Amino acid sequence: MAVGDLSDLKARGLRSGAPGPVRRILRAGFGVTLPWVLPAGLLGLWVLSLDRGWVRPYQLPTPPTIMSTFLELLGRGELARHVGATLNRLLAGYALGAAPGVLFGLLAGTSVNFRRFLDPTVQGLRAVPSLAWVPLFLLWFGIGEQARVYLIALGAFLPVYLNTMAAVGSVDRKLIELAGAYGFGPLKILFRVILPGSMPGVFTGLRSGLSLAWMFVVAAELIAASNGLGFMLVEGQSTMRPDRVLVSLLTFAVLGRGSDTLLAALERRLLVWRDTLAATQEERR
Amino acid sequence: MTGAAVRLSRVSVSLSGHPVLRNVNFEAGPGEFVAVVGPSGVGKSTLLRVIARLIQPEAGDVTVSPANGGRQARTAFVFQEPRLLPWLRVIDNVAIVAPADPDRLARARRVLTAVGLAGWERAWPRQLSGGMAQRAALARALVTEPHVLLLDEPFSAVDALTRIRLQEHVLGLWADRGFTAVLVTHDVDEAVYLADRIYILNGWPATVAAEVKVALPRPRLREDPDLARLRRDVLAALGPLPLTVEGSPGEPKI
Repeated sequence: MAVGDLSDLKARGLRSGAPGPVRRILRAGFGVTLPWVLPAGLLGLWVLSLDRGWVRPYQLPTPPTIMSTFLELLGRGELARHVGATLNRLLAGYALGAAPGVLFGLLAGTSVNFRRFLDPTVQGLRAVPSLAWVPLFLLWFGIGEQARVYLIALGAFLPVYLNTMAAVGSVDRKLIELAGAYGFGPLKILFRVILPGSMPGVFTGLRSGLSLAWMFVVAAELIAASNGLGFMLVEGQSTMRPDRVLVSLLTFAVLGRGSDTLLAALERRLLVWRDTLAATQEERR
Repeated sequence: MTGAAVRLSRVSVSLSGHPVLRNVNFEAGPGEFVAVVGPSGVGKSTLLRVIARLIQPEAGDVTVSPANGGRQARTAFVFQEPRLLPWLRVIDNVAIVAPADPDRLARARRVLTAVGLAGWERAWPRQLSGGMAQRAALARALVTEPHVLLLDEPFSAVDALTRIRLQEHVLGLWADRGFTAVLVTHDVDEAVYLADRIYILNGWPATVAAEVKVALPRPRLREDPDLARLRRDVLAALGPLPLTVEGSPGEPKI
């Protein structure tokens, strides 16, 4: 065997060693089952605690009650209306916050002067707990859709901006030097080196921005709204309907998880080149 | 592809206020293989970056002129680490530096084959071994059809067997394509085996302490007693061990 083949074999090592069909099915089955163990256990505990009278049904309704409330809300189109209102303002606010977050983060990461200009102000604003802006936003924009969307945008902006700026700063300087050695112009360096190099950090920002956007949509709807899943929560509480509150909570959970899964899938697709444990686990699946 | 003449006359460089090179004269003829050795931190890499115009000298002249009379000499850099862009597949890492024409992918494929990476075009850099990644970096340098190939300790981060194979590879490509090669290394054996001429940098700030001609026919044998003699000459010119520069703040490793 030639000397170089040794190193080639080493590199191929990751791809070889495929398990047999039975083991593969067993392993796949285990992989699919594992995430459901904890929720199923919690559901069991729920039923058990109602059965033994540890909690009262008016505090925690039974799963069948929640199911029938869910089907009723679904049948009347009420749930769809609330979900639609929430998703609309979430998406509008998220787009309004995340897009400038990426843009300003890139600018602040690449230009020292822009960072000096913008960053101290953003860091100052960041010191204010975001929900403390609510009264001011209501005064400025009135109790309407505008105030809610802007509030969500503010929530989404900060993590996206901060993570993008940090990601640009952490792009390997050796790669920038490489680009210089091969005569890349500033735009080529930006689009072929800095931007792709900071994508992992940008995605971290986009995902935490999304989870903050969900938090802010709830806050906005709890305080001032006449529709949306957050409104369902308040309404359920004031009408003593824990089943409606729980349907809303579960819908939030499904939507929040779903939207994050979508972003994570996009991230995996775009960042398949990463030399991380997660990327190689993904490749082997 | 033909080589270019590289000429540095009375070049001085300071980095962050620290003088690194002082009055350095250096020449490499078209198609010549020149090595630069010296203790670590002496300024060898800085010299290479001056030729690549990544660092502007504060004094002195740098000229790189193609032997075929063209105006613009192309230089290509191979670093100590492969420095492949992790988000580009191997072939795109090579093609990204190739001249923008419809032929660029075919050209990238050809140089990858020349360095023995045929079949790995679609791989991600993380899937390559150290030696393979360095060969990809070599392919990236070659795709620009450089007049001057600048090699900054390109074999130092790979294992001994891979190093020998890479050295033979570079020698073959150099003989084949006729570019001028400037190799910075701290490995004296490597310098005497590969080069036509060796510059020895020493002192702080660094100057050319000696110049050794390796007038041995090619292909050379690594166990040739003449190489061992030259090795002793170079080591003698470098002065007593340990090979570190006294009083130097250390060259910033970039």
